[in-house]
Amino acid sequence: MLASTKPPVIRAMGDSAILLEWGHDIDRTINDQVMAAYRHLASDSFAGIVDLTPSYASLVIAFDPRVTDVQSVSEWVAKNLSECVYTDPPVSRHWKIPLCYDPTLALDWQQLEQELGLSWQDITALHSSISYRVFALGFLPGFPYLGETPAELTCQRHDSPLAFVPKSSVGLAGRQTGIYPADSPGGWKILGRLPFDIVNLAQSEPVLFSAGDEVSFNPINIDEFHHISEQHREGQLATGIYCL
Amino acid sequence: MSVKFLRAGPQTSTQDQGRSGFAHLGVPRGGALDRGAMKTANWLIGNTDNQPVLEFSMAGPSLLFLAHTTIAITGADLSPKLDRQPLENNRSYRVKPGDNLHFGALKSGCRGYLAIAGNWRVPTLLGSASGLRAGHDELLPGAMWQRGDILQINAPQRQAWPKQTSPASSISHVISVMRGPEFDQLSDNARQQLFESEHILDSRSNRMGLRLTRPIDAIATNKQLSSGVTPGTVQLTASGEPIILLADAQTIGGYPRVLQVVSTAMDNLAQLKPGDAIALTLVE
Repeated sequence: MLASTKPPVIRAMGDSAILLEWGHDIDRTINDQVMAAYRHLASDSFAGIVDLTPSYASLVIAFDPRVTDVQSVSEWVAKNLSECVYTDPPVSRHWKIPLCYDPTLALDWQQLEQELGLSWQDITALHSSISYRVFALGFLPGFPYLGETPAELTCQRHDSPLAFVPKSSVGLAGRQTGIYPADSPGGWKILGRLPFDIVNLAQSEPVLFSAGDEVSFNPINIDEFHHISEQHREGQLATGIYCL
Repeated sequence: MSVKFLRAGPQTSTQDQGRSGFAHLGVPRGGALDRGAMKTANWLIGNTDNQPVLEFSMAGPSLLFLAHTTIAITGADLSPKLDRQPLENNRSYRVKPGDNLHFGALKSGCRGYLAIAGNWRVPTLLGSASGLRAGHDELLPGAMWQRGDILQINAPQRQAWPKQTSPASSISHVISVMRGPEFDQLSDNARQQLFESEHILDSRSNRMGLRLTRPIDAIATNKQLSSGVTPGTVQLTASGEPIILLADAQTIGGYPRVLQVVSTAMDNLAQLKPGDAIALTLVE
């Protein structure tokens, strides 16, 4: 599946990390290659590897320079990438999750109407019309960068971040949409909220989404939001969250 | 064995080697900023490298010991005293029930470390006792100490002999850096600004990163795809502010990574405080 694709450029990042870059585009096929390389490397232990950080079109491999060095890690990576060509496409999951776009939760709904020149109904219909790729997790533990949004929803970040964005809020920035896993300051424009938590680091599966997954949103009204939130708080299986 | 916090100090946290293997979920590495100072403190009292220590920044805690134990202090010199007796960094001391360890003026460095002999009974998350923050939330609240808290430690089987070591090498204000992935995008003027003038550490510096006050000519591309960063990555923000990322930094970022601090200079960075002047020197 990856046989026809270009290999990444491999470069040192100081004396304790290397960077693999597959160009600079937001593209599912490229992200597939990043994730395939990540999974391949993650399953092959190598002394001194500290962290693997996959993102849109790159993978950073951090290592302990007292144990190994740039050349040894680069050789290990090159060997794995050549094997990776023959692996199957990565297994990704498709999530369908409820999202409430009620103006009481969509902190920036008026600003978004103005900036995009669309009605709230159009904005939410567009946002929930397609499925998104989880291109990367970062910014906060478990924060998924989802893309790309329909071109009509392209928007700027706040000039100065909001001091308080409630946990599980869903925001827009550029052609990305993302979910805040914790109460946090935030620069993305908020258009709704999920009725459940996407991160619980004390659990064996600490983060709901993995990079490479697909996510689509099912709009719910405020009554359904409160109902599912309550189920979630009481530890019941919250309704409406499906993994296909 | 237990220790009571009479005063916690502004930024006193439990730290250990941190978390590795969770960067793909967006979880920062964390852990003690001055690894060498942590290791020395644990060695002095006969603890293994895996035991946590207390890390404090620019001001220390006041602790009441409720049992016999052995302690050692390393890193910043914060004028430690056991009751009225001044203590020295980099040596172990026996303490007895009722002893009060407290700190005074900051004489050198920024971050102090206190090791206490035995097996620490502290909560962990993803394999580490180090503090972990997400936005406004402390995800491991037990790692952040408050007045009145009690730290429980299982006493070791036998006490280590008193030990002493020579003080850590003096703090350097010249930081060795290598070219980062986006170094080539820096203008000649920006390179001059980076390497030919000194930089002052901003007061907004913290465990996530050290901010430098002098602005650098920013890189004129507005489309940088978010990509991995590590402790030691130097980002240049859109407004031209260089940030040297530290252990609690986020795992991916959208700013150009213009430099990368050499790994052996990271402990030294932990001992620099807001207002300090530094110079960056490029090594191959």
